[in-house]
Amino acid sequence: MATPEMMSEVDQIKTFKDFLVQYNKLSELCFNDCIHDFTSRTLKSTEDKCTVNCMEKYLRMNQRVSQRFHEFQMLANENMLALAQKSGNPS
Amino acid sequence: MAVPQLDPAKLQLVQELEIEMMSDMYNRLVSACHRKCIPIKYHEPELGKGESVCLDRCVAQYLDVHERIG
Repeated sequence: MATPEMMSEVDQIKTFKDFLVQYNKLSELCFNDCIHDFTSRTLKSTEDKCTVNCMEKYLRMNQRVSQRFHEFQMLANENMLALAQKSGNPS
Repeated sequence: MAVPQLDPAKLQLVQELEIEMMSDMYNRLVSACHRKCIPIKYHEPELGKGESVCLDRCVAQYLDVHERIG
């Protein structure tokens, strides 16, 4: 079927766009937090390490937050289901 | 919350809006908890125990606030 394939393409493009936006945000964040020395054209090794740490930390943080968020969503869905069933079958 | 009878097209729009709102909320949640929980020093690439606990609580509280306001 053409329609489900097209939908997943739209979703793919959206996901890719989200990824690119995240990438830009992360670059700006790590730059603002880590880079303070402009006496030379190249990155100092401490700033380079800081940048790598910044990126890894952000990715781990994102993972953890997404886990918690999913847990919350599951709980909320269960609650809504229970509520709907209750209001659907008043006994 | 009683949902009045909407025609399917409007319902679809509402659902899409809700998904977009969820996605936006998630981005703001990540940004806010990052600012509140992760110190700027970046000594190591791993999350410390304190930071992990802070993140868990931050997510829970953010979602509580979100529900409270709604």
